[in-house]
Amino acid sequence: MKNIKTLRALAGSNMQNAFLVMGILLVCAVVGALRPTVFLTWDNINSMCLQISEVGLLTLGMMLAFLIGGIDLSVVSNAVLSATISGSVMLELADTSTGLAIAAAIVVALAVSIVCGFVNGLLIAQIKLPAILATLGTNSLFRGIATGLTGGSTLSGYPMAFSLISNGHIFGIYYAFLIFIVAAALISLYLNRLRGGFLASMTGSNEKAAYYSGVSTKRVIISVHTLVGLIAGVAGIVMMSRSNSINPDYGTSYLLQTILVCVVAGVNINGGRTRISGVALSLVLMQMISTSFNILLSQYTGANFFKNFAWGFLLLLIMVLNFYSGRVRTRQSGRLST
Amino acid sequence: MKKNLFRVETILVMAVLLMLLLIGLVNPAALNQNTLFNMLRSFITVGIFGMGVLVVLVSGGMDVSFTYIAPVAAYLAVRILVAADYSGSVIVPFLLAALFGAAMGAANGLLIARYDFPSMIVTLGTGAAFQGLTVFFVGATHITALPGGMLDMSRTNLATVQFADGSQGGINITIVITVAVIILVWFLLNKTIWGRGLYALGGSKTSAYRVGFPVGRLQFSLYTLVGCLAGITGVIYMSLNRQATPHLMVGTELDVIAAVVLGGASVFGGRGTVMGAVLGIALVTILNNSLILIGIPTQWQKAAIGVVILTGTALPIVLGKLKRCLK
Repeated sequence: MKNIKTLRALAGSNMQNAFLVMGILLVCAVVGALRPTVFLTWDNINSMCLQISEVGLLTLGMMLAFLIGGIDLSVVSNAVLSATISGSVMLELADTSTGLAIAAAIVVALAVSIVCGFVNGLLIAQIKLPAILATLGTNSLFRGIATGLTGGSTLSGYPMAFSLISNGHIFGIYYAFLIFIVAAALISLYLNRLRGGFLASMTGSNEKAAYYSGVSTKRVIISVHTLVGLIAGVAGIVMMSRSNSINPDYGTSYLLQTILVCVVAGVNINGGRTRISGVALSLVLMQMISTSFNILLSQYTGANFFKNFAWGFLLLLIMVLNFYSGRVRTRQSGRLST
Repeated sequence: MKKNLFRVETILVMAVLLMLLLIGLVNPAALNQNTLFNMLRSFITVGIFGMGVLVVLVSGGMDVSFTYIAPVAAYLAVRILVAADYSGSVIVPFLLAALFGAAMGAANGLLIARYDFPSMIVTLGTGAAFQGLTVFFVGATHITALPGGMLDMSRTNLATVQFADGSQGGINITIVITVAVIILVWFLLNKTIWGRGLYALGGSKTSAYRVGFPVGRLQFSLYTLVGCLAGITGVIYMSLNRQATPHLMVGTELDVIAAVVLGGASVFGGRGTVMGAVLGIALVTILNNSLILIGIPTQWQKAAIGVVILTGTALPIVLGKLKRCLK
């Protein structure tokens, strides 16, 4: 009896991942069969990986914000702001020394994004603004500063070497994707092995309880938001180097996408639970869906938007599936316990 | 008196007056009827959107799909009427769009009420789904030859003023709809048991349920209403801009929510007034239209709005702390 219970619990916790893997296999099978010469080729997989890495980094940031029971609506704007400022610095220094310019750009991007994340943390922990409001405001502010500094125009003309940060490859794998993998691994380490990650998930699952058991929740919230900022800075470097340019209006659609990926991945938006494996799987699934619709429906003009429908539908479907599987589980476990 | 001084509405009225005063001082020439008409014109659509957002926020929910529902519902209506070669009264596009909007809102309401999903996530999904579905199956052809009534409406002004330089300006007739919606929402929230129910629901869902409010039915009806309002806004927006695509307005949802929150509505539900929301929207509209008049370049507008949102939302909290300290 006990074994069955453990098995069920195990199946329950990985239910979401099982759905996602099934989804990925389904897409692979269908599209692979329909367009065998295009979909499952090294080039296509590689280009999907490149696209995943940018959204993926931002999603990791959003996931951490969800972990402590908050949300970060400013994560994309933060990335864009740090990219624009570091881009301007790089353009200033480009004439003197390419190496210096790139190094300075990276340092500046990370510094700006850390400051932005820290400001978010202060607003939320110190002034006690609800995270959704604080980051709604800073979202406007960060993007506004980026627009103000550039006058709304695109910055470009960076040293070619800078674009290698994303577009260079080793063994045929883009650096951008490797950066994403390393970031995901580090965050996974932070969440599962380090004290900070443990305190963060404690704070997220019940802030009051964490506070009364001696956790300095203020410090946890500020440090997690600073970390989210840092990740946004890395994302900013990757997005700027991918096209070797940055526009202050870049990536406005990414924000909702990152939330979508988190929810599909089974991250608890009320805090306390994250799933790096789920985030990785759902990123792959989302990217596959959008790529395959682009391939399959390329003769229709609205193909790009059909993926919007598919994403929205997937989100709702997974929620409904979870609802029913959760209900079946509670009913069964109720029967077992009697 | 002291109590009134700390109210959000009072602060907002002062902010609005201060803003107008500032424009008057820095650039007196700009404070004319034309500026005012421009502000009113942008208030028309944002005002209706804001009322929808207010209703949702009061009930403790969050809707990010209304800027998708509005263009999609209106675009569907326009497409149908263009295909039918319709050129009659403007009532028909409004009815059609309201119907489509209400249907999409009902889908939101069903998912939120039946399954108890977080409203923000549901509307995030449905917004993308509605737009994707429409663009794929109906297309996104840019339509400028709107059905007759809609074009006539965009030219009909409530009051027309002849300026010194010979140009004409006026308040578009559709402001009547905005005012009507504001009054309707005020009535619903303050004078009906439905509105009481929304505040109760936003305060505590469990308590509202225990007291006997039909929580599910409330949620379903409120999202249907918001969808319906969004459909109407879509028709007005398309008519004012004399073009129709399913992409108009998308991406402005956070700005509208910010304006309503600035007006004192709580993102956690249970709090929010029509007066506050209208003032919040007015302040943001004035800011959007007048920063350039007081010498702030347009490129810094977004940053300024961000600062206003942050101070506007932080101020009540800081003031509250101050009050407690003084005691």
